[in-house]
Amino acid sequence: MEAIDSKGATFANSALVPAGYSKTSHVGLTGYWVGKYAPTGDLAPIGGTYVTYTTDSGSGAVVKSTYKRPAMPAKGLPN
Amino acid sequence: MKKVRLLSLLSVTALVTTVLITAPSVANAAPACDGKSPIQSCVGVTSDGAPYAMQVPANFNGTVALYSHGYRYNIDIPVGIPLIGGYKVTNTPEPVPGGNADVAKYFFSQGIAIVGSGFARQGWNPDSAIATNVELIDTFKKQFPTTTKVIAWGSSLGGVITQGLAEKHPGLVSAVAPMCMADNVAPELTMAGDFLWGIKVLFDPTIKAGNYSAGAAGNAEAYADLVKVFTVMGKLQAGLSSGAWPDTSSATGKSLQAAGVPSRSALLLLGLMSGLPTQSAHFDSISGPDGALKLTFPLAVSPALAVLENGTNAAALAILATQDVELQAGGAIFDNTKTDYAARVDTERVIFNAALSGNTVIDALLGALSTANPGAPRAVGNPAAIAKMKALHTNTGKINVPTILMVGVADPITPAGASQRVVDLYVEQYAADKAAAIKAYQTTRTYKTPQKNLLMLWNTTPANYTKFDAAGSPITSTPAAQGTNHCNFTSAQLVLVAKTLVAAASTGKLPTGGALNTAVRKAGNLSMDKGISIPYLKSYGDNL
Amino acid sequence: MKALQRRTLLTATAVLATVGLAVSAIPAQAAEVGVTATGIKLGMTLPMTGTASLGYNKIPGAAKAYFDYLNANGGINGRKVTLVVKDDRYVPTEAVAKTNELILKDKVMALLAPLGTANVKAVATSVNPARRGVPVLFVNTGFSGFADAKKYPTTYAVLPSYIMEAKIMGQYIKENFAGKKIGLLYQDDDFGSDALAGFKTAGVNFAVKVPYASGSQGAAAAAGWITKFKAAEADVVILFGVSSATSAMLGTAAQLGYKPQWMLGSVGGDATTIKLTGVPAGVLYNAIGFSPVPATTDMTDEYVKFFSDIYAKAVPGSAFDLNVLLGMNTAFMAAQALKAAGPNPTRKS
Repeated sequence: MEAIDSKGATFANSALVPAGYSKTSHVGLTGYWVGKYAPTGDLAPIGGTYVTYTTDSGSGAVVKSTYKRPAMPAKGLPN
Repeated sequence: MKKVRLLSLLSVTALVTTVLITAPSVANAAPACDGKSPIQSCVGVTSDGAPYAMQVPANFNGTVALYSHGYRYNIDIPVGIPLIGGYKVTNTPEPVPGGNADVAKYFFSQGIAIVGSGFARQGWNPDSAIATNVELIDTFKKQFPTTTKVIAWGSSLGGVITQGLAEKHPGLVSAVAPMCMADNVAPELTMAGDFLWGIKVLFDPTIKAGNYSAGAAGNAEAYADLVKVFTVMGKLQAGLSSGAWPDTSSATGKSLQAAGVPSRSALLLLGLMSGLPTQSAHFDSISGPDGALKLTFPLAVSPALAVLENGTNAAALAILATQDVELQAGGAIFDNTKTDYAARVDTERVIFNAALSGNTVIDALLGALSTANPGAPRAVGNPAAIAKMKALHTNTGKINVPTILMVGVADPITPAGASQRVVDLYVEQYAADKAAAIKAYQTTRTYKTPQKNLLMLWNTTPANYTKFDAAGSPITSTPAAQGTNHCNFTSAQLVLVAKTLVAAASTGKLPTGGALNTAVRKAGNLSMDKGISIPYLKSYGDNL
Repeated sequence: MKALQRRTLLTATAVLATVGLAVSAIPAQAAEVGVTATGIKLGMTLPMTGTASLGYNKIPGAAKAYFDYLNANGGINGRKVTLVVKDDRYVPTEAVAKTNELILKDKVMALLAPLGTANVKAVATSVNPARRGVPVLFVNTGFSGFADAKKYPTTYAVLPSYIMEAKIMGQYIKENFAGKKIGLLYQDDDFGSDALAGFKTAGVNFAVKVPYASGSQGAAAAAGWITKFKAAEADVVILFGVSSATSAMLGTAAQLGYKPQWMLGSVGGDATTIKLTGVPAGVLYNAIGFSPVPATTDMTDEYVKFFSDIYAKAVPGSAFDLNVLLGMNTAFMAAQALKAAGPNPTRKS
C-alpha cells in the first residue's frame, strides 16, 4: 500500500488519463476521452484522435488533459 | 457412559421438582440437602427470597459453577396471546443453561458442583441478581467449606449479571463467561424502542409502544401491544411480495403506500435503523430459489424477511422489558425526540439499496420518519425516569478475571455489538496494562507481560442456509441456523465454554494455542477471528 | 518536560530490547499472509453467474491471462501471482461471506477489483479490511467515496469517479448540445447520486430525469422510461446505468423506433456486452460514449495490442472488450504495486 501511495500515480498502465494516488488520496484515474460509436457498435474517438479531459470529484473545472502516457514497460512486465 | 448421562439428566429434573416441594420457607436459612450420592442436591432461599439449587458430586474438587439465567418476563401472559401466551412468572432455579444435561454431566465428571438461583425478581434485574449471587456464593462456601474456586457464567441478561459480578466482586470469581450477553439497559431498550416506535408510526398508530400505565392497566396495555405488533407482523408477511401495507397503517403509512413504497422496504428500514440483524433463523440474505428469483430474492426480499423474523422474535421482549423498566423507573424511558434516523442508516442505505427500493423510496421513508413529519410524532420520555433507568446497574466492560464471551453474530435480541464493544474496550485496557508494565519496569527492572484475559467466541452463520421447497417458497420449519436466533448454542458449544472456564479457573489464565484451537473447531461454528468487527448497538452512535 | 520525554523513550527502548531478546529466540516472523517464497495470492469477488454477471464475468479470465503471462516471465521477483475468484452474484451479504472466506480460509494477501458499490461498502462495514490491514486494490466501482483514504484507509479506487464522468459529460453537452432538451436515466442509488452531483456541478439542466431502482431494469420498465422521455421531448438521452439497463433501453427503443441522440455512461457502455443481449449494432451508431482507456479495437495502441494478443491465446474465441481491457489493466497495475512493494512485499508495503 505504501508503494501505491508513493508511486501509484506513476504506475505505467494503458489509461489515457493520469491516476491521482497519494498518501492522502486513493483516487484512481481522473478522466475520460469522448468518442462516438461506429456502425459496428464499437466506440472510437471523435475525429480519430483521443482528446482527453480530466477533472476531480469536487468543484474543480473540466480541463483538456496534457497527460502523456508513459511507454509500456519492456515486454509488458512491471518495472 | 449412557448411564451417567441419564443420571445427570434425572438429577437436573429431580432438582427442579425438589425446589418446588421442599424449599425451606425461611429465607436465608441453611440449604436443605438430600445427602444423596453420587450427586447431592440442596435447595434453599436467599435473604431476598430467591430460590436456589445446588448439586454437588461426591468427588467435589472445590470448584463450583454458578449460572445466571436470562430474562424472564415479569408478568403472566394470557393464553390467547400468540407465541408467548400461557407464560407464568417463575423463579425456578436454573443451575445450568436450560437444564442442559451434557453440561451438568461434564461438570460432575470433573468433580465440579453446580449452583444457580431463580433470582428474587424477574424482568430487568441485574441489581438484585448480582446481590443474590454474592449471597449464594457465600452460602455455598459455608455449606461446602472445601470450596476453593467459583466459576460464573450466564446467558443473555444473565450475561450482564455475570459480567457485573466480575466487575463489582472480582475477588469472588476465578473465571467468568457472559454468553449472548445483553447490552446495558439504555442501549438495549433504545433498540427495542426504536423498532416499536417505527412499527407504531407506520403500521398501527394505536400501538402504545411504551409509556404504559402502572399496575393491571399497564399490563393490559402491554398485552394489547403484543397482539397488535404480532398482527402487524403477520400482515407484513402476507404483503411481503406484493408490497401491500397492513390495513391498520397510519396516514403516513398509507401515503407512502400510495406513493408506491413497498411495505417490505419500510420494514427493512425500521430494522436497519434499530440495528436488527439482516440475517435471521431462516433467511441468510444470500440464497434464492432456482429460477427468476435467484438474484431478486436475496437482493430485494430476503433482508426484509430476516427483519420480519428477527423483529417478531424481539417484539415480545421489547414490549415487556420496556414495561418492566418503566415500572422500575417510574415513567416513560424511551425518548427519540433528537434521534437522527437518516444518520443511523447512512451506510446501510447503500448496502441494502435494492431491498430498500432505491434512494427515492429511502428518502421518502426517512422523510416520513423525520421530526419534520407531524404524522409520525416522536416519543417523549420522562427525564426523571430516564435518569433512574440509567442509574440501574450498568457494566463498564472492564475485564478483571479470565473472561470468555460467546455470541451469535446475528442474535436479534442481544446483538453481537454488545460483545464487540467489550472486546474493543479490552484492547484499550490491555494497552494500558502494557503501558503500566513498562512503567513498572523503570523501578523494578523486571518486565512482566500482562496476561490476556479475554477470549471472544463468535458463533458464526453458515455460508448460506435458506432452503426452498419445490415451488420456490422459503422453508421456515427447519431449526434456526447457527449464529442466528437468541442464545442458539449447541451442547457442544456450551460444554466447550464450560471446559475453558474450568481450565482458566484451575491455571488462573485462559488457555491458548493448538489445544484451544482444536477444541473450538470441534465445537463447531465458532470463530476466534480477531478481525471480526460487528457494529455497536445504534444508540452508541447517538452519543458520538 | 523534554528531558522527561527522552527518559521515557529511553526506558521504553530498553524494555523493547529486553522483550526483543525473548522474541529473537523464536524463529523469524513468517512472511506476510498470502506471500510465500514462491507465490503471492490475491482474491476477487464479483458476479460470475446470474443476471448481473453479464460482461463482468470475463474480468477474472482477463486478469488471470495477464498474471499467467507475468508468471511465465518470472513473476514478481520469482513469485507467481495466483488469483482466487469467488462468485458473489452481486448480492452484498454474499460478498461479505465470500470475502471472509478469501481472507480467513484462502488467506489472500490482498483483495483485487471487488465489484459493485453496495458490495464494496458491505465488505468495508462487515469484513472491515481496514481493521485487518488487508489492501483492497483497485475496486471495480466509480463511487467517489472509495477514494477517501481516511474513511477507507486500505481501499484504492481505479476507475474515474461517476462524478468526474458526469462533469465531463456536462462539459460535452455545453459545447455540443447547447439549447437541446436533455434527459437522464440513472440508477437510484449511490451510483446515481454521484452522477447527479456531477451533473449539478457541471450546470446541466435536465428536461426529465428518470431513476430506476437497482434490479428493477428490464424491457417492461424500459417502455415506461421511453414514455417519459418522449413526453418531455428529450433530444439527448443520457443512459447512466448498468449494462442491463442500457441494453433494455436500447433494445426496446429499437423496437419502438425511438431514436434520440444517445449518450452512454462508461459503466453500461461496453458495445460487446450490449450486443450480446441482442441489441443490433446499428442502434449504437453515433451514440456518444466515454472511456478512460483506449478503444478496444485500436490495435495501433501498444497496450491494446499487447493485452489482446495475450488474451486471445489464454481465452481463445472470447471477444476482447472493455471489461477484458480493464481487467487486464487492473492486473497490470497490481503487478506494478507488488513489484514496487520491494523484494519481500507485505500488505503494508
